[in-house]
Amino acid sequence: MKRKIPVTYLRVAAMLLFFALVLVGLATNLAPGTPSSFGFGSIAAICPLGSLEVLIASKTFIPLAVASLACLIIIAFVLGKVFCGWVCPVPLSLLLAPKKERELSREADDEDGDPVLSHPHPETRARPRFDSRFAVLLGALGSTAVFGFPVFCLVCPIGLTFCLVIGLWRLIGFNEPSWLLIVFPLLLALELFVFRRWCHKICPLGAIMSLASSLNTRLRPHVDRSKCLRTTEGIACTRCKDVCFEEINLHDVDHSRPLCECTKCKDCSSVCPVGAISFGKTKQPRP
Amino acid sequence: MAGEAGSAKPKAPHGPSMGRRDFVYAAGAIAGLACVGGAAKLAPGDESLIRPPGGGDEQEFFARCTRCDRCRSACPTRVIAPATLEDGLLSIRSPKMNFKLGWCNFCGACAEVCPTGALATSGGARFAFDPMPDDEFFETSLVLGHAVVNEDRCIAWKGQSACVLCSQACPYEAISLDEYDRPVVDENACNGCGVCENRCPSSRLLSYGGGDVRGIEVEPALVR
Repeated sequence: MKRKIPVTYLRVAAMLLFFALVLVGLATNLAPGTPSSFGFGSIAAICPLGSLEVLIASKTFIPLAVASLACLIIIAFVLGKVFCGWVCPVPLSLLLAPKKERELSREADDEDGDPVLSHPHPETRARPRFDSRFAVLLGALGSTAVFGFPVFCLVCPIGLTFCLVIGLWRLIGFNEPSWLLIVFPLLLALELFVFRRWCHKICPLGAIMSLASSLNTRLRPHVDRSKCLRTTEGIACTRCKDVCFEEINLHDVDHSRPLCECTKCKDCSSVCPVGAISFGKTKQPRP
Repeated sequence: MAGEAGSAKPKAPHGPSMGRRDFVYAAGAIAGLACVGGAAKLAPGDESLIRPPGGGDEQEFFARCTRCDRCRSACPTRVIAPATLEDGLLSIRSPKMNFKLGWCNFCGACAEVCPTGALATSGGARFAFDPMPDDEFFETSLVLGHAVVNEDRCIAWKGQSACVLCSQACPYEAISLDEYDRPVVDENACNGCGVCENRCPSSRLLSYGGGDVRGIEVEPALVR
């Protein structure tokens, strides 16, 4: 299948779009912002975690923060957890990491199950598991309440990434050197490569995205039983499971993270040797 | 901490509840957040930082600022700079005034793009001031700080040369000249717009002596 490369390129291009936005903000007065908050003029979307944090820290009603959370719910309803696969720069850095590292970071779960489409995911809403990300989310909100400012923003790898872009610009354009340019890359490396499982185990923003994405039942990977090698030929093919960054097993709901974790990266449909996986509103399998 | 209480009672709609490995990740991350939050609060960093207009109440400012960089970009005079590690852990990525790069005319562009009201008058409302007759500066009730003459750096005070650039530049008529034509700041009229510091030539004229302190610089207002 030749489709894999274009989809990956598209995702990288979408991720780079925010870098371009930040550069526009550095070169002009248009103030498009960063993922922490981006918009035009007085209208802006705020990071959902940042929204919750400023609402808690300031103990006041902040209209744009509430509106941003409402927008998140609408986007999640239609598109699911697309932010993680198409916007966030963190998986981008993991994409650049050597493939071996990525495989090592996977928890051992090699049960392939029956070579048939035995336990497909139900078509109802999928609720996220209460994993450590949700505990970190509660910790992020709790620390904000205790200290009176958004603590997580200081260490957020997305914030650090764009801070580095801005820091480099200031260094070159304004001769403003800072230890930040050395400390932040080290912190980023610590977060992403030493802990490695940032996205799955720690990211509280991802926890919010997963929770909101439980509303999404429309845009999902759908296995066509009449094409899948497991149902047609009885071959224990696990390529879609192996490629999935979010550790979703479309063929076995019991050994899979819930479908609300799907970031719509389309790696599974690209890698399927018979093109059995499509995205869209869940359809009844064709006879 | 609140987070620990939450993680102790995991709900598990599907599959097993939070395993030991998850607990280690969560406990580590929450402990890390507690350390960062505590360290940021305990080490206040550079207290001479001046925030963009409307950010004077530090507690309110930090409660609302998401460090999104929009105010820095919006500023037409480019006086807003991103604070760095040297400005203190708490301030990293937050906006600060650098009057060597620009000055504040209170146009309100930063407050307009601030999505959370971190830059706003005390009621949380965005401010909009009337332009002054020169159309460059705006009438304002906000005070960023007060200009202070450094008598050992000001070339007029050092008696090296006659210089009236700061008093000429001041749009709020806060700088007058004394009997020897040396600048004197009227604290009641000065709001810390910084145009005097921006125009002061002393760090260039005195560059052989070293140091980059200017003859007049804005210091934060004492009441925080």
